[in-house]
Amino acid sequence: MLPKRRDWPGLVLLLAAQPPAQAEDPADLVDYTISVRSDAWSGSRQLDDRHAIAQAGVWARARLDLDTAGAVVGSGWLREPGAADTGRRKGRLRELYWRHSLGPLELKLGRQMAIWGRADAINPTDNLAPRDFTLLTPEDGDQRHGNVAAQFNVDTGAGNVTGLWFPRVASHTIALAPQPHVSYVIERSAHAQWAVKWEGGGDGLDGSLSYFHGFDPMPDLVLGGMGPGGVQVLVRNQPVRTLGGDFSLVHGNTVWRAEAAWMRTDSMGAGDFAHKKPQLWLVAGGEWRFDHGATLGIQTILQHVKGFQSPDTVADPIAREIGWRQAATGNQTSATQRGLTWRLASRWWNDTLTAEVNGAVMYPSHSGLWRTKLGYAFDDHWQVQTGTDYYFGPKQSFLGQLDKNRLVYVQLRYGW
Amino acid sequence: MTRYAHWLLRHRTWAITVTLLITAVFAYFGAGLKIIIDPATLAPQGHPYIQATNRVDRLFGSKYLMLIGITPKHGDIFQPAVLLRLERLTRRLETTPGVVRSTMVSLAARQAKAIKGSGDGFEARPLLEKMPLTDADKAALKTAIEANPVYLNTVVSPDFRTAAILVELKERSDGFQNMVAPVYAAVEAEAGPDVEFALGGNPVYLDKTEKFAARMDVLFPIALVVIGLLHFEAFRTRQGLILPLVTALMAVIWGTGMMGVLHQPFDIFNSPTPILILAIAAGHAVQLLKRYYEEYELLCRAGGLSPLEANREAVIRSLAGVGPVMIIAGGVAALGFFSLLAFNIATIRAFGIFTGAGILSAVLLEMTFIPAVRSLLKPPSRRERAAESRQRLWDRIPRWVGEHIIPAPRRRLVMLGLALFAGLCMLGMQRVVVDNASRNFFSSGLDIQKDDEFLNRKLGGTNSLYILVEGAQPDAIKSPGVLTAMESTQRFVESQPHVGKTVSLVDHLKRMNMAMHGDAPGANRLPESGDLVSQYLLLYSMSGEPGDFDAYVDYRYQAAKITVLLKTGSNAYIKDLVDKLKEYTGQAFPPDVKVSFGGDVAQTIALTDTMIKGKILNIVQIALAIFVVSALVFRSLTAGVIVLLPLAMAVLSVFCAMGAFGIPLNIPNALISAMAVGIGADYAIYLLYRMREEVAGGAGAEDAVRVTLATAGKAALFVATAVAGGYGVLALSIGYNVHLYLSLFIVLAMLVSVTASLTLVPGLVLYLRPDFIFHRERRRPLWQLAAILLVGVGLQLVVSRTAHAETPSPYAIMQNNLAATKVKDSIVNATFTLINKDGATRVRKTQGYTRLQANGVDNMRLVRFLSPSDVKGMATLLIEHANTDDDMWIYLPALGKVRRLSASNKKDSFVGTDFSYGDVIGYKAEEWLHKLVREESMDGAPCYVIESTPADDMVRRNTGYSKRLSWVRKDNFVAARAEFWDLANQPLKTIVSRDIRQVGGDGRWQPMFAQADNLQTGYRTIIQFEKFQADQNVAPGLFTPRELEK
Repeated sequence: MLPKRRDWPGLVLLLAAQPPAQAEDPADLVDYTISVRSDAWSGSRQLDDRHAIAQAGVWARARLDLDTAGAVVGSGWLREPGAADTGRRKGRLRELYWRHSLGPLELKLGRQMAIWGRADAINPTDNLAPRDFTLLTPEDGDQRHGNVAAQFNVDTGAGNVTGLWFPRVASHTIALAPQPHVSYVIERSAHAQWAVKWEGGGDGLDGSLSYFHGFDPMPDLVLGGMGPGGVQVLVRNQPVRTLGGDFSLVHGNTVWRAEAAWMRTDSMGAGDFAHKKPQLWLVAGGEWRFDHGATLGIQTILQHVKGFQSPDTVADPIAREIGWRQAATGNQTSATQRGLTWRLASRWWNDTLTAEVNGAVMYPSHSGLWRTKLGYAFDDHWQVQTGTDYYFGPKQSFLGQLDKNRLVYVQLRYGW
Repeated sequence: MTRYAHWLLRHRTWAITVTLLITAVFAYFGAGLKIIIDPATLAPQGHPYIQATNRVDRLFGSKYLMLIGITPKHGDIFQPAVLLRLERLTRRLETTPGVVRSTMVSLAARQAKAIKGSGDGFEARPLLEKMPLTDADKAALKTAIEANPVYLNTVVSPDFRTAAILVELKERSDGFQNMVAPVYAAVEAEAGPDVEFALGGNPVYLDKTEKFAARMDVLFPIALVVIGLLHFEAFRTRQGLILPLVTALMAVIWGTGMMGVLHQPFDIFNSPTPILILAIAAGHAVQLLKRYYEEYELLCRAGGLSPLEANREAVIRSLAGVGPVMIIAGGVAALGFFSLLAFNIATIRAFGIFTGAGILSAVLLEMTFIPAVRSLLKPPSRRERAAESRQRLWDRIPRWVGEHIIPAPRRRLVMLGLALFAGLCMLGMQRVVVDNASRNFFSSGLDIQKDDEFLNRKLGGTNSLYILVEGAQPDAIKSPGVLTAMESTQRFVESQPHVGKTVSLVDHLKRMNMAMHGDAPGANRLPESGDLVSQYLLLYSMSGEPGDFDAYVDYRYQAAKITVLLKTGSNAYIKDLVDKLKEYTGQAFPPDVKVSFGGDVAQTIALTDTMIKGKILNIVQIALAIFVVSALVFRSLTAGVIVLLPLAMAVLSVFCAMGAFGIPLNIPNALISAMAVGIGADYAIYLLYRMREEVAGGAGAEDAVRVTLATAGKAALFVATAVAGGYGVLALSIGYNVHLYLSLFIVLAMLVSVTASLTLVPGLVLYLRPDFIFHRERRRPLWQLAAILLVGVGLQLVVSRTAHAETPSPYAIMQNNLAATKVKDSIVNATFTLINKDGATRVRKTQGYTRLQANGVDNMRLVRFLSPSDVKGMATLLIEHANTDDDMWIYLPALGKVRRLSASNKKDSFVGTDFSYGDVIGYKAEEWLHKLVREESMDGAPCYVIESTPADDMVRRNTGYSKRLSWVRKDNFVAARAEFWDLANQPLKTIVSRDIRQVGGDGRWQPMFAQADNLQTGYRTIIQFEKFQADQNVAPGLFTPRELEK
């Protein structure tokens, strides 16, 4: 698959970079990882009725060392979807960037993933790396892909300062429930956005403060209009300014983590259901390590939406329904939500067998998610992973609306 | 040798070019060497005082005490000019890096509180609650200080004219200048015309020592010029001035370059060594040059050759004549110095490497570069030859010696005189006092000495001794029996001279009791029961702060510290005091309470004991090496004895001078004696060799002596004069006694050494008529030589073992074990092979980087996973902290970000292997109780077998081990095998290390193979290290979380 046009800066840099110094063995300059994966899934992640999906793919990541001229890093995947999964993306260039260090200053140019936030799995400050929530992969991290950006990171002596400028907005890919007489129009914004973060740490404590001025990667669902074909719903990323902070603190066997973000949007007020509303997110909790490598993490979540109003107050039934879909997609189904996340993981036999149970529950919606994951390495190349995703709760909630995405999977992987 | 000389001259251009290139490379490596004192490399870690000091440091953060005195020009301390400064300075020091905040004491320190009686009992209020003070506040403060005598003589002088801040500083490996610089900066910011600051304490002296040692940068060039001028005076030719200096200078460059290549830093005790190399190298050059002039003169007289041909032939003949003896003499001295590598003290090893390498370099240069250059120079002119051969003082002295040593009656008188001199020296030696107190390094007129004297006069003292009291269980210190023993110990030590103050928790408890009883004088006593102690401490905590007693007692009340401030640092006095205290506390404390002694002064005693003993053993070891090699070279034990005797005379004279003039025997002075031995060996060897050559040439004994004295003897006189002149330059280092004594003793040693060589050597040869000179056909057979060699090696081993026997305690062995693999930094590729009980394997490859932190104890470790694919890209960063939990981060590519992990649990598997993090990092010796079980060999290497059990339950839980058994190799302290028992006391695993190689320049070691076998699961892990590179100057910036993502 050819790179997209927005990846050109990375390619140009790759080509323009001066040739590396004479290496003893040119093969030493390239470092790569490749894995071939074959999966079977009981269902899709697109809120549809498809079952028994099989797919095969190749995932690769490579780094070309240019010696004094830095390095070029690229990663991506190609796949052959099974018969039941036709029409989906067959490949993606996840990253392609040039990285260079100039003493305390580090530069990254090109398509890259910047993942922020110290909390476990739920990160209110994580707005920079888009994610394809519909992609069938056992690892959440594999759903991510990069956005073209220019990044600098400088060690000031009093912490690291990171700045990012993105020429374009990048959006999450979300599951859009197919409904009769409803069509979705995905809008793409060509605006630029930027973010800055200060990060410090050492001696048992790390922390950061960050600011993001751009567009929410989680799109809003906006009523576009009504016509002979039915209702048109616009899937649109809208402006957001996020001020965030986080820390992690070690005390004995416990790592305490917390993350908070204040997100300001262009919401016109309580009656505006076309925009996500401003909100405050707090996630805090601890992680404990036990004997024999077991880890337990528990976090509490508090979310407060400013100017919340129930979509039930909307008179028009279609606008009300879209209002509820928007509220569920934006996870703003009540003024204040509380929640809990957990993760229990363990490893046995020198990391040959790994198991994990994690989940989340949100109140007052009583919605949630249970996930299990089991991995076994036959040797250094062959691995098998199996797991389940189980969503529950009312439709008018972020997790509950995904109940169609309940699934079981198994993946066989060969890596080198 | 003649063939070699011809070959060399044919390739002289190459020889010169290659030598210059090598010199340039060594100059590059030697240029960055600095002089620093790294306490960790000097301190004998096995000494009980050092162990106690380290334990006090770990428990209370107390190791290096510094005093800052503030005295107003007029009036008392209660004026704003003093108190405001005191407060600002205290606040600034609280945030100054390297300052231990919890133990800092001053009137303005947060933990300095007055205990006052109140309606409900008593309360603790800060001494300085507000600023500025009204008259009433001043009176109240004065009353509070008087009511809380713990502050008198510590932070306030009894006449209220001087206030002080007691600052304790953290140890660091990059020298004392860096340790005290932030404190100096803070003090300078508060300087003003109305107050005077005085600084005291051992760190102040050690800082000054580093600064004064750096004077060598100036003194060395002056010494070079002086040595050159003396040679010019001796030869009266330009060659005589330049060539020996060129050899000497290049030898110094090669020596320092090798130090640089090996990353071996200078310390203050090695800093005069360049002059030593300069002197020895110049000595060899002079011998060769002298012979050259002799040969050239002979060739000119014989005629038949043009000046150029004669020059070339003279170069060849002189090299053939002197080359062998130069190799022998240089080899003897170098081997003597290299034999110091057997010592387990880094500074002694550095001295050995540097000097040995310098001497070998000098010989190599004299055998290559100098003859090549000389053959290119113009032959000496008639005028130069005349000047060189003119009879002067240098000729008259050897001739005079010959006149008094050749006739038998006179010879007997000379020998009698020498014997008398030796006897007198032995008598003088009896008065030598061992004292390594840092203040003795300086003359009394310096400001630091005045400050020290002032602070000792006004306050309790600038020297600190800590008495560490440790109970068997938590809250042991609250026991009335222990507290009473602490109090009586304080009273006992206060009754001793030079003790200015003692402070402990007892003083605070007594004050609490008194406050509870309405300040009744009779209540100035300890609470009667442990419960009452607990209640008082609880009551105190209601108004005080949790850290107020951090300087006196640990968190669990299991260990307490009595600080004794002394007005003297005299080793002899303190040793005596500690002996008395050991006896007293042995009776005063309950049997289950352990009492040990640490602190500045105790450390100095430990250092003195070990280092001076080590240096004396140096002398014996170098002498033995010289004896063995000389005996082998001349195939005669007599030759060995003859070579040694002048050296013995020189050493005796130095020790005699110390005793006679009241100069203390300290580490630098002991070093001088080792130097004298190394330098003096040449003279006797050159003399013996020349005598043998003359006798072999048909000369009679007396003629041989005469010619030898006129040639080799004259050269020895040149050399001795030049060395004495060079070292004499150090007398210019005003105020620094180390340099002054060095110059004095080396001049003396050279005088005695050359005198004894010129008299004793020919005298004994004439008297004994040894076979190795007069009957070479009767030389000892080879089997006898082999026997000599074996005996010599055996003696060497005995001396080395004696040196090693300084650290025989199991604790010291385990501490050395921990330090044995701690390189400054490293880069290594490792392959982890994980094998399950069925034999299935998984292989993980990593690239690791380490860097030792400034404290010389904690490491930083970055590990990147290179394969297999499921972990590739993963990276971990571990920053160790001696006193708190380690920091640890992990980068998981699947997550795309760096996460902090808890690293307190050392029993966690290291990256999924059968090694735990603790196994990889190593175990702190002080957290375990060690016992020497037996000694046995493992893989052919003798080992100590040490059983280690956790010192407390926390260590047990954190490591997951109830017992460890370690086979620690005697030669390098690396554990060749270790066995581990789990918490249920069942055998858990074994770790075997093999292919142990020396790495880096600090004498560190690294097993290239390690295998852990889990006895309970049947799993095992093999680690194979490849491309281990130590001392690569790995950048500290690599050990940051952001680097993990790369």
